Amino acid sequence: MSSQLTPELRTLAQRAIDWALAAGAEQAAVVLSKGRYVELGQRSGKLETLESSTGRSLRLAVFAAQRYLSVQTNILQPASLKPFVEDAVAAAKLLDPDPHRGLAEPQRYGVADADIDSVDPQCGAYSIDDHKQRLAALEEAAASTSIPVVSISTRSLTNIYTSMRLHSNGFFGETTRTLYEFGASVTVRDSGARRPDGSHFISSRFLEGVPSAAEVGDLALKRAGEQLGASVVPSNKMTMVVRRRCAPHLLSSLLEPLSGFALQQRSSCFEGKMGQPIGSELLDLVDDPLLPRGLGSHLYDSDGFPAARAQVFEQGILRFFYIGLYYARKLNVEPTTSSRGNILLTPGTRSAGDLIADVKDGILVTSFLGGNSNGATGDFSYGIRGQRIKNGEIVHPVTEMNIADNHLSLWKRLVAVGNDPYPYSAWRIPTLVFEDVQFSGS
Amino acid sequence: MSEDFFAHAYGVDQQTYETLLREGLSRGGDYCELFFQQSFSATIGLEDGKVCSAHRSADVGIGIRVVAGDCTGYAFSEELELASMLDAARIAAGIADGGKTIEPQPITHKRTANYYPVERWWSDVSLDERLPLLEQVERRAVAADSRVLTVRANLVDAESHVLVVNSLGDMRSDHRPLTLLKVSCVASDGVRREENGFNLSGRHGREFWSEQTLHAVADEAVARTTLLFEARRPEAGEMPVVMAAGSSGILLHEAIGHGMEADFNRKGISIYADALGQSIADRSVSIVDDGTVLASRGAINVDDEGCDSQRTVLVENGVLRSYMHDRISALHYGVEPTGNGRRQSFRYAPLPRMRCTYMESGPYSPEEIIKTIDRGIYAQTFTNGQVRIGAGDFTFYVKSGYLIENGKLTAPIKDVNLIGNGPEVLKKVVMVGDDMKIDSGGWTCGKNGQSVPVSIGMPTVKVSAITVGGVS
Repeated sequence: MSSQLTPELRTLAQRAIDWALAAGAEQAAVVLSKGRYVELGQRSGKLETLESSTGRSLRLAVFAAQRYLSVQTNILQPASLKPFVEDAVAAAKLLDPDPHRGLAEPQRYGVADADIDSVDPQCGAYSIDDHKQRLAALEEAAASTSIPVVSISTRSLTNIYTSMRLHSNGFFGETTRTLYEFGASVTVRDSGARRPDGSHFISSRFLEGVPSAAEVGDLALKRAGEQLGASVVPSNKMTMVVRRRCAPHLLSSLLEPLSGFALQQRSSCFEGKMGQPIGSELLDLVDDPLLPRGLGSHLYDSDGFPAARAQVFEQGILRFFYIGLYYARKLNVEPTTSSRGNILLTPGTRSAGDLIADVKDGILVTSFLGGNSNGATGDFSYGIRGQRIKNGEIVHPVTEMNIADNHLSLWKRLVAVGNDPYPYSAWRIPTLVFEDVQFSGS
Repeated sequence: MSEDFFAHAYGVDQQTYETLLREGLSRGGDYCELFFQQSFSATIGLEDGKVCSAHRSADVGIGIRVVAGDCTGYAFSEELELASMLDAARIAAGIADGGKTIEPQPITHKRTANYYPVERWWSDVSLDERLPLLEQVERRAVAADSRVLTVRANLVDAESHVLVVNSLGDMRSDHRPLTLLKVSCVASDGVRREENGFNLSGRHGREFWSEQTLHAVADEAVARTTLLFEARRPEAGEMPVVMAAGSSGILLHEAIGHGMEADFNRKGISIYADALGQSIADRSVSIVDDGTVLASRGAINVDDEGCDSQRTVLVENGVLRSYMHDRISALHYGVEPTGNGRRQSFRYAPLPRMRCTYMESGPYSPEEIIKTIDRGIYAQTFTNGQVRIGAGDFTFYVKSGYLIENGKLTAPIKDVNLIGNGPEVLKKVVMVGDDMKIDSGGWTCGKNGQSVPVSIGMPTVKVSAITVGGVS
């Protein structure tokens, strides 16, 4: 009912496939999407930006004589689109043949029988005035008389987005999603010229259940204030506590080499490690694409396979690779999926505060900055800022430090997880505690 | 010419511009701007010895911006029909709140300089002429070293027609080419496996990719990968670092570049907000952001607000001279725009962005610089960086380099993040080399969710101390 696609656009998706087949393609797949967003920003009590638009996109994959080419366009007038599709089929035939390309067998297709509850029916009625009220409340909460605030920027966005997928050999799926995003960035004045910032933003499919603008604005102010007086401490091996909001930075580089692409291209440090221990028993990680209202939820993947829950690490043991159809054929294995859903790390029973209280000598990492990882070896190195912990107490903020480690050994030193998975993200990760992490500083 | 391009392709004319500008200013905005864009791009990919994937895209639209004071209303339309464009103009107009109405000025088209001469535009190059380019690269890379297991290569080209018309009466157009060749290798020495690569990019046409250039890219990709077998991670801690000429410009981009974008300073959230006219580095340090470096990725003939591209001196002999401005910040500071107003596409409002940012050469040879260090690292190739504008903390990731021991380059190093504070690190630039080089890598800069192509450059430079994210 809330689909953004008009009957004309739905017809166009089928016509694009028909044009491709008529031009000589054996198979074709189309993804048609349309979304409308409204975004407002406020600074110093004044509306600073107001944006709103509708965007559309058509992606088409054509398979002709074992050859593959894809196109994407927003030029959807039939008089332009038809020759664009016909040219694509003609161009595909010039490429080298690749026997692994092609759509899945129809019997593999499916849409999961689940309610991911991805549409808030109220979203379309969320007005410019609603946004303005939220911005004002965010700014009011982020203001402070005790901390030298330089600037408060607030932002509020709503988005309604529909995407449909249609394959020439029978797959059809369509999903509409709503999104609310809002929050504040606060910059504060520190010693010298330093102006550290802190922010807090919420993303949610539904408005119901989100924290109030006052809570969010207040937390943004706290995040900025906690940076005041930050210093660099000497290089050392210490306990690393990772705040739940920034844990995805570590997790995403752990998951990257689990892809069929990395395995087939021989660039995965996890090659040959299925069934082996990669982390401690606390590395218990599930990918659940069917979580109601989940930001990573979906009912079908990019091959048209029904979405399903997967245990990626079971008590530290590697159980799953993300292998889509193409790389499964190249590797001569059964496909799983190449689409990631919601990443859930099984929470522990203790709060972040309790975990910090156990740390004698460590750093609470509150955000990562830059850095990179090498998926072939598992080596990584990231900049960090955070809070120094001594004898269970947070003693002062730290900044301008790095960590360096390797995924094949770091996760074996995961010694505790919190009871606090972050709910407003596709990454539902609690506070993590690692031992013996090399920090470099002064 | 791009102004004719949109007239011929979509039938927009003087009447269309005037109608839209009037609608944009109807609620009392100070300034209205129309940004028409049509883009085509093509990518071909080689994997497992075959050029067996290709992607093409075609995109068209108009972005309409209305500015009232320093506030922005923005909307885009993907259909260049009057009704749809008028809807966008009405939404953008909503940022203003009644009051005066300004009449748009009569429109005159002004020609631009050309910083990317092209012999053959990519739209005139057929797919079957592109395929052999990747095949040559692959043959060369596989033959270069028996340890190479897999080679992947992508050739990307893009072409964009841009037309800016604004209520000041300016009408400017541009036709922008871009090409990128990216080669990645995985190699094994029987014990370890390493992956690395190399890429080359610029605002070039088909003529750029000679056999010699293709071979050079393949050779460099293989050399950078196999070097990692001998490389280790350096020790953790603070130490002197020599930045190699060329892509070390990533240090400038992060340490000072973003902090000098005037929107951050106008809002008081940059660490450089109070530093204009002050000495921030040694007298040997001069830093430039230049949109006129011929055929570089960061070159633009005209910016996305219709201002001329230019060479902007940011730091002159250690003194901070100018921020990088868009129209809003230029008005705020009472200066002329510097041609830094850029955007990813018509879907986004322009922001002050870097173009080609580099440090000018100084007096020392690279050997003289390296000789001064007993124990440190020589940082040579980089993947990415990031900065916190207000705190000034920035990082960049060193993919490879060398240890410096007793004044000489010794063992190779790899995979290490460096972190420092922008103004502090600039003060620690104690020697500047005589070998400034603009890097031709495919650098892309991200800001507020928008990506734009940029270039970076640097002479060999000694930083007396910076924190290296090594291992114990």
